[in-house]
Amino acid sequence: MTDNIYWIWFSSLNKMGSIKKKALIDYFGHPEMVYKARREDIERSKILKPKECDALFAMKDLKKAEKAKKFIKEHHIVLISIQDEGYPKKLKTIYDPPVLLYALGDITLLQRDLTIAMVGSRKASMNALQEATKFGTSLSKMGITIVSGLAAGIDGASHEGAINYLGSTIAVIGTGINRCYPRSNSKIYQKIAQKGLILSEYFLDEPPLAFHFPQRNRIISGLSDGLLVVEAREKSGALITAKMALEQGRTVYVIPQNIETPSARGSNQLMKDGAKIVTEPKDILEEYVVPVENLKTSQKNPSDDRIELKKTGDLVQDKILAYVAEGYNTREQLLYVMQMSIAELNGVLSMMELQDLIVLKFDQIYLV
Amino acid sequence: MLSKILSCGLAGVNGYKITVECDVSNGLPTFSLVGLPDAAVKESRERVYSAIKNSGYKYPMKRITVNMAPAETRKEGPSFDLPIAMGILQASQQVESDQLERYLLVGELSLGGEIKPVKGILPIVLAAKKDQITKVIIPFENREEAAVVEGLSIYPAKSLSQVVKYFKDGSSMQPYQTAIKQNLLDQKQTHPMDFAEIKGQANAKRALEVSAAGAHNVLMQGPPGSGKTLLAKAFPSILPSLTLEEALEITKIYSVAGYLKDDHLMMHRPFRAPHHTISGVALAGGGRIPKPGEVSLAHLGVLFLDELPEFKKSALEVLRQPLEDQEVTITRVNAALTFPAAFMLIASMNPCKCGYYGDPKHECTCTESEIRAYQHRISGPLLDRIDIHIHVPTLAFEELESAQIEESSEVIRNRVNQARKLQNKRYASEKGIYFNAQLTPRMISKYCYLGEQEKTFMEKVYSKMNLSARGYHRILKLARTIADLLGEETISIQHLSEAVQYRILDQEVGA
Repeated sequence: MTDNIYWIWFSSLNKMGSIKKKALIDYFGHPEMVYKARREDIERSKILKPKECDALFAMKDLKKAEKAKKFIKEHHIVLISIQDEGYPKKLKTIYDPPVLLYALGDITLLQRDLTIAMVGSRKASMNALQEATKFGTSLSKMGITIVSGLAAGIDGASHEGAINYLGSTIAVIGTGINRCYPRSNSKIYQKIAQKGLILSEYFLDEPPLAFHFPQRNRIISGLSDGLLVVEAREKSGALITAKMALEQGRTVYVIPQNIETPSARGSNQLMKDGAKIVTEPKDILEEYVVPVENLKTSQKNPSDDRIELKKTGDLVQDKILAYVAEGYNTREQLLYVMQMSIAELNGVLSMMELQDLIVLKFDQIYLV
Repeated sequence: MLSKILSCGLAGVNGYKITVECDVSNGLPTFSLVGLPDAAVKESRERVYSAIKNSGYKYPMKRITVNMAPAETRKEGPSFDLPIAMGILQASQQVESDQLERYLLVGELSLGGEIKPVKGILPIVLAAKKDQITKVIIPFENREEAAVVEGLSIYPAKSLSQVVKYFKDGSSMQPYQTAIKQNLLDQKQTHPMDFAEIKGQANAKRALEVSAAGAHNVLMQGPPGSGKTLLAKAFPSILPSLTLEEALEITKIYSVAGYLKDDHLMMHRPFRAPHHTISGVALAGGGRIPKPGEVSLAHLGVLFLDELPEFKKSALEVLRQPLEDQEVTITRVNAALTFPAAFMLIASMNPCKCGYYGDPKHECTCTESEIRAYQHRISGPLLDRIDIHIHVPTLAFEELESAQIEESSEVIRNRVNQARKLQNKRYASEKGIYFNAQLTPRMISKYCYLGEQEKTFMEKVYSKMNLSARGYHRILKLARTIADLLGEETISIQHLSEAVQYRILDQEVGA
């Protein structure tokens, strides 16, 4: 933990990449030395090109840092530098670790044993979103910390699943830590700030620039032991994260999705390339711990958990649930198999929605 | 000498009586026309001169003054040619009949003296009837349109000389009668599209049925090619058949706009589908002397706006007043006119710019903010006036090829007719209210009574769907219509829960 003004100043140098930053720290020992170094010294280090030197000297001003320091104190933001004890060990081993992390929330989460990253498409299919929430919940119940990127879609769903139970989830964001992007996730941002942990390598107020997100992905995979791709398009950010995870030596897991779903083409390709297929949370756990007997007894036959249908006590509703589970998930199809009028069907669907048995999205019916 | 001839002018879709006074006196030969004539009326001098001359009569080389009373309204169009010519002939004693002033005359003259058809005959004849004028002389080609009105004699005239002869011996013209009214009643409704021809889409069809029964406006959302346009085109076929009064009202508008061609009476509910590049003025009506726009041309029928978000924002906002008041008032320097505009709005849209957001088979290429921006192009106030919003998903191949027999429009229309009858009876005491869609909040609490069970159900819906007070009322109105379709007086949970399915945007806005 640090509140050194020079560290804050150093992280505000947004034109310098983290590899060069790390090199400077390694060379000079501390940002204060970098700040106070003469130009000749820095040039002699051969880390920065003359132009980059100019940029560095142009930004030699502690005013912004002073202001940020005040803000950080007021908002209980914690700074973790690469030289700190609390800096996550796994992250240190990657090629280009961030030199300074802004953290908001429970920083003990960084010391947990088992951390799994969950990533996926921003515009995911309903099924994938439900899987993300389910896996988020059950993994965090097993004591695993979930890392994700607080983006729309899968990221948000994974966080949501984790935070609503034990709350062991880390969100690595691509903006300054005091900003929430996308805005639609502001509720979950608040929740994670209270119960989980939000991390960012960017200086305060930094906007959501496009190149931040692939950079942030290296931290997501770097923090974790394995990466679970829930659903990913071709050429998506999730695939970039998967590639980084492999470069960093992490295992990549994939949840298989419908081969027809366009938003799952990338993740299905990952399976073909040899990623480990995961259909239930314990598939991940068994990689890290020897299965203990009582784990099985605590959850009665976990593999049945996913297929088991809720019983409603209403004959028609039970029938519809069964058909939806079989894949009859449009009104047209249900009308055909149920042999009822559309007026009746619509009525029953509303009742089932109200009881949280199903969700309708774009006229597709999904089980909850 | 002075003569007085009755004629008729148009204000909006209604005619009003005009007296054409003609004075021929000694003096230098001049022709002056007073009483706010527009260019086409002023030009009638030349036509009248030639027509009189070429019909074998004498144009008096004297001082001629023509006044059109009331003098404060602006007169337009060529329909005063005939009354002016007859006025001159009478004032110069070439026609001597005391009968002439009991007739109402309209018609454009050609230089040769033939009478040409004019616009707005139906409102003119209706105005004549209102003013208790029993005899009307109209252009021959307008005879079918004029003969629709009962209770007066219609004399179709082909030429000026025929009219003059008529007043000499009374034999050259016979009152025209037509069986057109019978035709309307006999005519079986024929529509270009029938619901039986549309495969699948049971949900959309049911929503349209509810919409037709309660006159609720509809917004259909779905990917390209899912059949939104087809459904909208078939929609008029399930609307109740026209009554004679309604047919006359529609014909009046088309007559004024000059869109009546071979059909002398509009026998179908209009279906207007303007292109999305339409301007606000073309939609609402306008012009120096205001003409009816698309909202009025869709009166008692359907206004279909395909690709709603592509319309100009200014054009869409114009719809708010007519949707609320069922009429549109257009104010210009020359006149402020009110046109009827009791149309049903059927709108369709894609869920996003590329069209495939939420489609299970296609990938949507829009970003989240693009989708939000697209959905927000339709303003809240406009959306508030649309009771039903549904998804129209793409159908799978098997569904398109299914051999299932679909309900025909006629069967659905019968149910709609029944439901409308119930509503007419129920709202007999409420002035200007005919359908459930028109209910005000006060009337909703009166006519959409909920029992205890239903109330607790709606409480659940209210909190689950995050409803606004408006959204809540809309569900009640829809449930009222659904109950009416089943002929039931009390609203039950079954009706309410079905109504919830036709309010998808309540759940998805902001998502």
